[in-house]
Amino acid sequence: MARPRTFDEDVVITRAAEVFSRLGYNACSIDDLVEATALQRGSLYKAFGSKRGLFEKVLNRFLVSEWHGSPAALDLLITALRELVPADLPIAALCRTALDAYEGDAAKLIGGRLLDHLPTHELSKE
Amino acid sequence: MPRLVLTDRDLIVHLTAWESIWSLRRSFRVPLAHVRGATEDNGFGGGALGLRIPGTYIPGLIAAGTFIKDGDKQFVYTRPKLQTMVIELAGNDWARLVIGVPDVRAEVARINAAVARHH
Repeated sequence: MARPRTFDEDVVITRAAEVFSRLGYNACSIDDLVEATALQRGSLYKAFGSKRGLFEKVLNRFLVSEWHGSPAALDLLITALRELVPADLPIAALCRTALDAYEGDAAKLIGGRLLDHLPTHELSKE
Repeated sequence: MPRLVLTDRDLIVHLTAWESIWSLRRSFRVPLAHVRGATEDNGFGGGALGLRIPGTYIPGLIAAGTFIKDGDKQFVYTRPKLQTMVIELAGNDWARLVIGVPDVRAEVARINAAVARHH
């Protein structure tokens, strides 16, 4: 039997969150997650069950009471809304709970975050 | 190609006669209670497979049978023309199933939805 590996789950979740935010959910491969977290492939599966299981843990960690003040949490929420929510009831419920807890205008908040990604200067055509 | 059937309680993997010859396994059944989730993972191969006992492994052509990696027993059936899905198990003799399917994203969604309904 192989020696059980120990790792810091907080560090793994933080690194996975960065990759999901940058690449999106579907475009993020297990190879990307293995590279970012420095975990063995088997350890990743054993710890989280699936890519979806890891994403759900990441969302749970980021969609806490003050999530609306965190650009990282907003990016993850946008990824979940775009790619998972239409066919994934548990993830949809997580997003709904976070949105219901926010007292401001969630549409404006999410739209504003999307527009943050638009460069302010004309991109050079060269 | 392997065919995956979901019932209310089980996930059943049907292998054709040829696939059974390569993998030395007949079709088998896993309770949904043992399924933790499914993942699209086309990078699963080579070193992730581990040691083949018993089965068939010709790199670039076929990986089929029982593989042991870090003490985990994995059932594998993949071919280059198929996309790879990893089904992680718990409380089962097998640690995971690594199965080639033609439309991996649809299969993954179907299995994860069944798992969510069951758990």
